[in-house]
Amino acid sequence: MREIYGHRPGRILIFILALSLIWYIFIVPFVVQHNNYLFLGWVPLVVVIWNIQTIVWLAAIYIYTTKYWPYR
Amino acid sequence: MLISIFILGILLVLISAYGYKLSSRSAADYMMAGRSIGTFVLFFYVYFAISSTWTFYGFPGTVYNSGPGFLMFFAFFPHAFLYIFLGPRLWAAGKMYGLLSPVQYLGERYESKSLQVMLAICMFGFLFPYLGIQSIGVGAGLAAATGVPYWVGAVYMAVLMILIVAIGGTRAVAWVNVLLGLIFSFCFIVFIFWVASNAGITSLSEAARKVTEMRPGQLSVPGPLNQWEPKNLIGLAIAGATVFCWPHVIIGTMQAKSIDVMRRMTYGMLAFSLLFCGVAWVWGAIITPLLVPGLKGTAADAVVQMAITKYLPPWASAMTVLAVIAAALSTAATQLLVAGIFVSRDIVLVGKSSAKDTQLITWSRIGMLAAVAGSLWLAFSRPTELGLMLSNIASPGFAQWLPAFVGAILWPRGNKYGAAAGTAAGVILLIIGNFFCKLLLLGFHPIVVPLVVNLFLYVAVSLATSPISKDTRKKFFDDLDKWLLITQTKQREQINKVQNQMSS
Repeated sequence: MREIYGHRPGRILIFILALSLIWYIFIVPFVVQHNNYLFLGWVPLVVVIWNIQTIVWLAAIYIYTTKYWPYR
Repeated sequence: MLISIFILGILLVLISAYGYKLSSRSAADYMMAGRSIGTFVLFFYVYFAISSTWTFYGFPGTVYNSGPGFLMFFAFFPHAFLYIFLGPRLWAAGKMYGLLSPVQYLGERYESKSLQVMLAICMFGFLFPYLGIQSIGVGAGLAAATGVPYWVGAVYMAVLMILIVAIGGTRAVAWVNVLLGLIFSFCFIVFIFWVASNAGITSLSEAARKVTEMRPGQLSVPGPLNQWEPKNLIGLAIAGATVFCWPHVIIGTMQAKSIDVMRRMTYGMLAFSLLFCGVAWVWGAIITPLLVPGLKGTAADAVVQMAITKYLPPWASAMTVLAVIAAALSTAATQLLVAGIFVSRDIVLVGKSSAKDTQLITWSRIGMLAAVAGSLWLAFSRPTELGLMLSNIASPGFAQWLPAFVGAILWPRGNKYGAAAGTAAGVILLIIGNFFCKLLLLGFHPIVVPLVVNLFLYVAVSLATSPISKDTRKKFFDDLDKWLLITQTKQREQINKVQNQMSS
């Protein structure tokens, strides 16, 4: 963790991941309540958000660990 | 069908026996596969240690009952936190100090053998419900597909998993998981298209419209039973976010060949989860409610099997049972190994650094037998539906060592008093709240209150008591970081050198 927090790209990564985690745990459960929207006519909102969350983490981790991670 | 299931069992035991033949008979080889697992095998080993019977039956079954909100539990993204933020130090400690389990890491990092034993007993105890799920899944699947009594599948599962793990150890289990993972993925992903095609489902949006007409709330949150209100959903999301600290997931960090293996496996897990969980929720939320309507409670656990039996030829139904057995075995085998390691390294032979390899392996096998016996007992008592047995009992239990585990790696100020107080309070609160006095959980998901109390006590008691010694701090923080940087820099230089030579 020190190796990640010790430089600017690492701090940006931690900020993005922390923000998305808070959003996922504490905001999404309220946002999706009683929402009948279906993306493409069959994908519920909670599933759309779940996918976006996973893709954000995948992209952030991929960029950081291939370009900036001290242990790369 | 029963013959093909029997043949699969023989094949897996043979793979295991081959793994035994290749192993060096040392404890590090038996428990850690010689710390040499590469990306491909580690991916299958870890992903299919997580994706088990509950992915095949419990996940679609619970979505079928309660709607797509249950997907919040399946958060694979926190695994990136484990493998990128925590994994390197665990991996380095295994390589540098020869540690054989994450609990041993905590015992030495917190300078307490008693804490090591306590944590190992807690984690061993919460492995039972999870192991029980596997036997239940196979029992229910075989019963639905062939009509044999439920206990036949449960006992078959128990015998097979003990044979594979006790004979072959980690290396064999990792290979077996690759084969089982491929069977599982093929059936789970390919059969959904086939079932939909045979049932005349040509448009998912049309199917979704019919499902919402048949059962209002099936495709929204809080779901048809109003189960996923914000309070419950927050708890479910927290439970999902703590999956990375399941002991049989963590142990992969100490068995990987290199840090690069962990990094690449993280990408693979996140990318594959998009496909795999996508298929699982479509099974549970759209396909099965339309094709096999009207099931309730634990009956929905076998809904995927029922849809396949109804719309596909008999051999596909038989293959699905094989896939469920594959799913169950890949998880159970990994869990059994971890249970065995906890019993030998962290409970019976704790503190005995001179313990012989044969002693370690023998006690591991005894621990595995005990774990299988406990899981069978649970399979026959079957207290609740599969998905909830995992999300409400096993997962909150594993989460109770999260503060001590993460703190051990990231927070030098954390000490044994904080870790012991937090974990003990969390586990006691979880057990009393789940089984005797639900009022203690304040209406939240079972994970929330025990974890918050646990975290508070860990931090408060650690700050109020004396820190760990300077030597231990240096050993588990400064020395590991230096070693990691040096090792990785050397490796990068070697790679650059080879690349330069190739280009010139």
